[in-house]
Amino acid sequence: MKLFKIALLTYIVFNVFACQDVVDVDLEDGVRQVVVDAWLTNDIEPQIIKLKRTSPYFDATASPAITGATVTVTNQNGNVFNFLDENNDGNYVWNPDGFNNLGDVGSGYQLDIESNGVMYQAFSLMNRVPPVDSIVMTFEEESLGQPEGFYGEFFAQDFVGPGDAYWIKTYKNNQFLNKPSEMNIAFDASFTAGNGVDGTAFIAPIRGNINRFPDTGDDAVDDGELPPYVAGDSIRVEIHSLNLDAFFYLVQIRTQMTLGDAALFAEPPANVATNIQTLNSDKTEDQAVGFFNVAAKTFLERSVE
Amino acid sequence: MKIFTKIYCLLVLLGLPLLLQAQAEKVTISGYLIDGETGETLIGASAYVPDLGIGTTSNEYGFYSISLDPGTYVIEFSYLGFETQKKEINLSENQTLTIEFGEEGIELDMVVVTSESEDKNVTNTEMSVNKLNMKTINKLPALLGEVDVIRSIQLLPGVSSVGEGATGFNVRGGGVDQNLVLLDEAPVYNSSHLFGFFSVFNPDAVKDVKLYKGGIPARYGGRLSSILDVRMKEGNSKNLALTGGIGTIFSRLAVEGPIGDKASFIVAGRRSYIDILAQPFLKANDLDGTKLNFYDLTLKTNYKISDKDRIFLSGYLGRDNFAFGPGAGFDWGNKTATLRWNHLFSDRLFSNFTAYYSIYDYQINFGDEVTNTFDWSADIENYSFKADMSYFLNPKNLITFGGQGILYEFDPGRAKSVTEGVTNDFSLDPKNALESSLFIENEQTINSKLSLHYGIRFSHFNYMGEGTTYEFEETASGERKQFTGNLQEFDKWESIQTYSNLEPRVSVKYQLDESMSMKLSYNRMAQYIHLISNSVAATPLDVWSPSTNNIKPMVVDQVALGVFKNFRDNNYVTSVELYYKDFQSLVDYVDGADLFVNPLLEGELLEGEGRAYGLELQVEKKKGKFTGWISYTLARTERLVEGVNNNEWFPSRFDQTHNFSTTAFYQLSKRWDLSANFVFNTGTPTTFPTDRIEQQDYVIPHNSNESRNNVRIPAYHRLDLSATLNGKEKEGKRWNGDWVFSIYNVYNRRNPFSIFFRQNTIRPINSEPITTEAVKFSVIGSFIPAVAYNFTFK
Repeated sequence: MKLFKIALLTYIVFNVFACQDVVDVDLEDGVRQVVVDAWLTNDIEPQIIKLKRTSPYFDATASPAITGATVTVTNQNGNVFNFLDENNDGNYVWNPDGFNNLGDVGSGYQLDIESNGVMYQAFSLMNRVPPVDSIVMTFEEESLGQPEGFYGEFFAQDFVGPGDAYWIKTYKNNQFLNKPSEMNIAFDASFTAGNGVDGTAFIAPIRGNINRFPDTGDDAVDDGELPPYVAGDSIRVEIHSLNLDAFFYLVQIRTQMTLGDAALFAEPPANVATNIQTLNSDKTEDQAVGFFNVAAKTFLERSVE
Repeated sequence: MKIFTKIYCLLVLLGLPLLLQAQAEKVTISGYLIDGETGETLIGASAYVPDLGIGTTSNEYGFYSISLDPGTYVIEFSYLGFETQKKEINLSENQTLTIEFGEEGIELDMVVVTSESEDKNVTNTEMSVNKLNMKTINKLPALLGEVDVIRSIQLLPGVSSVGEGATGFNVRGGGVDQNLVLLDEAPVYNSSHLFGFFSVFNPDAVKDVKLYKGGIPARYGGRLSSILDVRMKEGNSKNLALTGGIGTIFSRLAVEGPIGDKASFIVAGRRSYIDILAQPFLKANDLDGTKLNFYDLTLKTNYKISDKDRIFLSGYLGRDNFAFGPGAGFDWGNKTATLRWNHLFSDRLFSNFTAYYSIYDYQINFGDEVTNTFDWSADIENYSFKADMSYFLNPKNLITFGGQGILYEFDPGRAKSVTEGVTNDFSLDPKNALESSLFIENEQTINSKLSLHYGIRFSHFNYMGEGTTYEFEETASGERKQFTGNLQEFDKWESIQTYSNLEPRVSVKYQLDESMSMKLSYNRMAQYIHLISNSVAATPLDVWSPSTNNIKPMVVDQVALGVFKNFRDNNYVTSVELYYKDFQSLVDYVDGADLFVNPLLEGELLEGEGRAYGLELQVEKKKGKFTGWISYTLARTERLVEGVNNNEWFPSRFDQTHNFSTTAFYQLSKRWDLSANFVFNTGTPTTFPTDRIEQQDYVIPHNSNESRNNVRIPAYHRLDLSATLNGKEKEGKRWNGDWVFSIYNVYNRRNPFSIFFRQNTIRPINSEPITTEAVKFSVIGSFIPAVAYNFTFK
C-alpha cells in the first residue's frame, strides 16, 4: 500500500530542505544474462517475443540481441506457434494468418526457447478481461500539484470472484504512458491481493490513473506544468489480463524502478523474480530474466473535447 | 553456553542468601538527595565516607542508604554542578538525612571541590553506559534550533542512525527496534515526530537520560541492544516556575510548581508550526482541511504521603497529523501513563511498584465521498505491572530484585474499504501475548580494587489466542514460504506458543590505579517482539509483531571489555571499549516482501543471524571554559541469511565503519556561550545494480551477482555551530531569556541519504533506448540557520 498521496505528503514536508542530484557512480561488473520479453495478447496482430542480453545498467545503446534461437509457443491442444527472427534482430515474430489469434480466454500456453544449446521454459494462462465501458474526460481547475486541464477516468467492471489481475495501459496520441510511476495495475478492482474489493467497478485511484503523472523530481522536463490532456488529444485505454505471478512481477518492477519516490521509506533494492526457467544450465550467464504472459485484451479509444 | 548459564544461576541464587546472613549489627543512614533550588530529586548523586573509602549513589528516585558500624563519620555528598556538602554524623541508631544541594558558584575560575562522583566512570562497575544531562543537551547545536534528546545521543560512541530524518537509532549494530526507549518506565514504541527529525521528548520536562549499550543490569530486559531510560522531572516543589521557548519548529511552554507542601506537578507542551511553514507551498484553495502539525503534552505529578511513601503519576500524549483536504489523512502517535509508588519497607529496603499503559497507533484515511473510502489503522498496546526492590544490605552489597508482567495487544491492521458503496473489511486478527520476567542482581564491592555487578533474569513469553495460526511449507532458502492450507484456531487466552530464556548478566571492575580501571561485562538479552520493517528507514506505518509459532524470539550475547582513565584531576575523562555481539534469530525479509495487512505475513519473513564488533573511544573534557568530547567508533555489523547474498555474510543496512563526532563548548563571556559539533560517518551500505533488463519499454535495475549491500554511499559529514546569548543575571530578576542562534550543516553539504537508480525523467519514446541515471537523495540539501528564544520565569 504505497499510496501516492502519502508519497506526496511526505514529499512536500521534506521538500523544504531535501534535494536530489544526478551523480556519477561506478557499478560492479555484472554477468550478461538472457532477457526474455514475452508479453503476448490475443490480438490478431503480429506477436513479438524479444530476446536479448542484459547490458550494463547505464549503457543506453540497444542491448545486444540474441539471434539464432528457436522460439515456440504451444497451446494446451498441442498447436505450435513458431516465432521467427526474420530480420535477425532478436525480435521473434508470429504472424497470425488471416483471422486467427493465439486463442481464447482460458487457454494455457507453454513457451520454449532454445539458444546455444540452453533450454528455457515458461507457462501462462490467458485470463479473462472485462470490456472498457467508457472513458470520461473532465475539465478541472488548477489545484494542488495539478495543472488546469482535462483529466480522464475509465470505467470497467471487475469480474465477480477473487483472483483477477489486470494491466491497464494508456496511450496518449498513440504514445504509451510508459513512465514507471504511471504503471497502472489492478488486483480485482483494487490495488492488492486480499483486500476483498472484488466484482465492482475499479476503485477511483485506478480509474483515474490514466492521466500523465506530474513529475515530482527536481528536473521534470516534459510535464510539470502541462495538463494531462488538452482538447484534440486522443486517448486509448487497454486492459490486459494478467497471470497472478505477472501481476506480482509488475508490482515489484514498479517498486524497483521508483525507489526514489519513496525517499526515506524506500524498500531495499532487490532483484525481481522471473517466471522463465532455465532447464539445463547452472551458469550465471545462461540464467534468464524477464517474463512471459499471454493476455486477453480489450480497449476503448476516444478523442478529448 | 546452556550449562554455563545454569551453573551461573545456581551461584547467584545460592550466593545471595548467604550474604544476607552475614549481617552484624549495623546502623543505617538514608534519605534523599535533592536539588535545593527546584526540589527535584537527583539521580546518581554520591554519598561517600572518605575515612572508610566506601560510598553509594542515589537511585532513580534520589534515594540513598548506607549501613555502617555505629560511630562518628564525615559523609561527603556530591553531585556534578553542585557544591559538595560535608556532614559530620554521629551514627548510633538508624537515621534519615535528606540533603539539598545548592548550585555551584557562577564564578568561572572557582576551584571545584574534588568529589568522589567525578571519577564515577572509573570507579563504578557500570560500563557501556552514557549519561547526558539536560544542561549539556540544551547547549548542543541543534537542527532548526530544536534541542533533541535522540539526536544528541547520536553523538555518543556506538550510536548511529541510517541518516537524517530516519526514525530511531542504532546501537552497536542493533536495529531500531532493539532499543527499549522508556519514558518514566513506560516503553515508547515510536520515538519520533515528523518521521525522524525530532524526538517525542520535550526537553523542558526531561530530567535525566541514560543509555545502556552493554553490561545491561538484570533489571532491564526485553530488547537486544540498548535501554534508553528517560526520566521526567517531578516538577519544582519550591516555587511556581515557567519555562518555554519560541523556536523555528516548535513553541514550548512548561509550568511546574508545588501543590501544598507534599506535592508538585509539571505540565509541558509543544506544538509545531510546520503547517504555517508549508503554507507558501500550498495554494489557497488547497488549505481547506489541510493539517500538517505535531504536538506533545507531558504531565507529571507526585504526592508525598509520608516519609516512607510517595506516589508519582506521569503521562505523555503526542501526535503527528497530516491531512490534505478532507480526502486524505494520516496521523500517528504514542500515549503513555505511569503510576508509581515508592515505599520504604525499612531504611535499607527501598521498593518501587509501577503500573503503566502504553499505546502506539496510526490511522490512514482516504476518500472524500461516502461511497469511496479507505480506512486503515494499526496499533500496539500494552499494560504492565512491575515491582523492584532495592536492599541496601551494607555498603558493599546492593541487592535488587523484582519482576514484571506485560500484557500486549497487537492490532496489526484494521482496514476497511468502501467502493461504490460496497464495504469490504479485510482487517487482520489482533494478537495477544504476555511477557513476564523475574530478576535478581547484586552490586558487590569485594575490596577497593574489585567490584562486581551480577544478576540473572528469567523471561517468559506466552503468545496467546484468540487467534489463528498458519502453517507454512518448507521452501527453498531465501524464498517466500507457501501456506500449506493448515490453520488452527485458538480460544481467548489459550496458549499458542511459549518461549523462555535465562539471561545472565555480569560486570566486573578492577581498579588498576587511582584514576584508571578495567571493566569486563557479559550480557545475554532476549527480545520477543519485532518491528516488521523492510524500508531503508523505519516508517510510522511499520507494525510490531509478537514472536509466534513461526517467528522465534531474538537473542544476543554481548561481551565488552573497557579501560577507563581520567587525567588531570578528572578534567579529562577517557574510555576505550571493545565489544562483540552474537545475534540469533534475527528477522529478515524475502525480496519484494508484502508486509502490510497481510494475514500470511510470516511467510514473507526469513530468519538470520548477525554479528557486530567494534572499538569505541571517548575523550571528554569536563572543566573550564572549554569543554566537550570526541567520540570515535570503528565497527562492523553483519548479517547471514540463508538464500541471501549467495549465503555469505553481508553488512547490515546501518553498518558504518567509521563514526566520528566531536562536540565543543566554549564560554566566551558571562553572557555568550558558543558550541560546535562535527560528525563524520562512513556511508551506509546499499545494493547497486550491475545490469539493466529491458522489458516492455521499461528498464529494470538488476544485480546479476546476486549480492546484497555490495557498495557504500559516500561518507556523511557535517558541521554545526551555535551561539547562545544568555540573559543578564540580576538579583531578584524573575524573567530570564536566552537567544540561541544556530547554523546546521554550515558548509552546505548535500549529504546522501541514499542513491537510487531510475529511467531518465524525460519521457522515453517508444522503441528508442532508454537512458538511465543514478540519483543521490539528500534529506537536507542546504545549510539551515535558525533562531530560538528560550525563557524561564520563577
